[in-house]
Amino acid sequence: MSDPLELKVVAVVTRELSVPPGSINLLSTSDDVDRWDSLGHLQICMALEAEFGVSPGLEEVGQINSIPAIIAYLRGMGI
Amino acid sequence: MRIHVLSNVNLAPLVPRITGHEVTLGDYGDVLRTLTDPNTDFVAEVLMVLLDGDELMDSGDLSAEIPTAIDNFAKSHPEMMVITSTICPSPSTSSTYEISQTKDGRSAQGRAYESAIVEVATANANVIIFDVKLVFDKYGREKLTSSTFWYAGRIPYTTLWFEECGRHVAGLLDAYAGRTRKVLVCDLDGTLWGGILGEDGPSGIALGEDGVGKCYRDLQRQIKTLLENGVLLALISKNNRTEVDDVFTGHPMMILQPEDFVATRVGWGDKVSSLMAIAEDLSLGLDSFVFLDDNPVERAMISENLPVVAVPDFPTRPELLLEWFVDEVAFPYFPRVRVLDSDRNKTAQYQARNERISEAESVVDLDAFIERLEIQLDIRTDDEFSVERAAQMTQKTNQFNLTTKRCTPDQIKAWMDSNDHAVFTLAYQDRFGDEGIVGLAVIALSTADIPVFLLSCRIIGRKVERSLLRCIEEFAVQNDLTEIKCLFVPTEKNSVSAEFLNESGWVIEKAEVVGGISYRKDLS
Repeated sequence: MSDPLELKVVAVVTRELSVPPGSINLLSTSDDVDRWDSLGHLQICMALEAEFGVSPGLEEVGQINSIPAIIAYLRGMGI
Repeated sequence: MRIHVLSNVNLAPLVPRITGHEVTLGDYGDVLRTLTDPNTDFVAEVLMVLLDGDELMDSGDLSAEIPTAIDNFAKSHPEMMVITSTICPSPSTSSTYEISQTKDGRSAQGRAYESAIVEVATANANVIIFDVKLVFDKYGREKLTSSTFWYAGRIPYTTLWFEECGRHVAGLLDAYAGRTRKVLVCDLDGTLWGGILGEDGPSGIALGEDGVGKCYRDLQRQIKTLLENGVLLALISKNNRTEVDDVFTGHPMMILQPEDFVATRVGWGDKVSSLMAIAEDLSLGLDSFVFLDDNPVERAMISENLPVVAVPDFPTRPELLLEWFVDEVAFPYFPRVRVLDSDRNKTAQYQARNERISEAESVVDLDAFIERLEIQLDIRTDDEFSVERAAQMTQKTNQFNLTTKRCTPDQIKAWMDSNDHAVFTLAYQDRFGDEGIVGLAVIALSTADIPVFLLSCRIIGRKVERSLLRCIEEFAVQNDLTEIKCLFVPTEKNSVSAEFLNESGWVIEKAEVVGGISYRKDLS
């Protein structure tokens, strides 16, 4: 994992969920991580807004519930 | 402190943002029950009721019941601090302008709610109000609210709202607990007024009711407000005392007056030593101090030598001073919840302290600091591109100026063209920036005399005059001179020049010659 975007997304999710470094990897999904519950997910989405300047809509918030989905969403936004 | 937060919306993201405190969150929407249930079971020193206006207005009677409930809770829990927020009722209703027109409209309901909580705060010393409009006024609804997170999880706000509110709530708690700084130390030139007093004179500094001068006058007004709220003011300035006194007594636009300062150090000593002396005189720890200075080198010197002193950055544009001072100085370092009579008398309590000129022995390793500045000097001889600037410096420089001889560009040019004279200009830069040409010296080979030797007061204290003198000495030796001479013409303002002569190997040749004191320096 050397892509700066991937590194940053993993770091943001790790921070927002307050999980130990290394707990989140490029394949992590909300189903695999206990702390990635509905509140944790909202905090991740809010952090994405603050960190990347994106504004995911309500439906997108429901879809970007894994690291691959978040990365694909951000790339789709031109980041 | 332990803080329990109640809200009618989901404020989970606020919890980690009230730093330095242990924060718990009540059940979402459980505000009234928690306030009224005698068996309320949370454990905290602080209860915060932070309500969203939109939701509150939609909840009917709740907006009328909550102020009474807070009042009762505060009275039955006198040991607990209760923070309650103002609200920002939203105009997001299809009633459009109608909401503002009637006494039953949403705007009127919001005002009635706020009047009610102000009454509660007035009646209970343990109730304080957090005005969320502070945040909304600054950033606006668009940047602070999010319909996405509202519908996704009943979080109506953005990260920015949580960060700003977290910061303010932490500030309120600090203010309530008395954890604030006590002393604001101010510089003068470029800080309390625009320009350089030693060069521009009392009538030339920028301080007034228009333009740039108003920026500084408005800053002085804000500083006066802090003073009235119990903050102590101190003054540390590299200037001549008599000139500073002239401004305080004679400038009609000065808001701050000498009696407003509990300690004053005006002179040419380093500011670290001055600040330490003030702390000792006032018997206050250095962690009570905030240091304001427009000069990044002075700020670095304080923060590197006295790291517990708060040294906020200073805006580069005067029009930003007012907003900067409120946001970056008053709120973070001097938060106040209530001003007591004892606060107002603070300055008088300390006023009896003595006042000294800042010539105290230096307590800092000045050489090491100067080394870290990474100073780069560019000393040029007879540089024709510098004629105008050289002449301007002779006209404006009063403090580090041996003769205060005023020269025209023609005269400087004539010296440059002459075989008998050499004109040295000194340009200065350090890791904080480029000051441009700030030093000038002229030597006449036939008489070995130095008719001009000056340095802008902006860089006094960084020992660059030694380099300028060394260049002249080397030039003199190359031209077979065995000594150099100068006439020191004392004025009310240039005593700092005499110190330089005494420290750098000059001896008095004749103490009383026409116009001054003649000095010589042996080069053999």
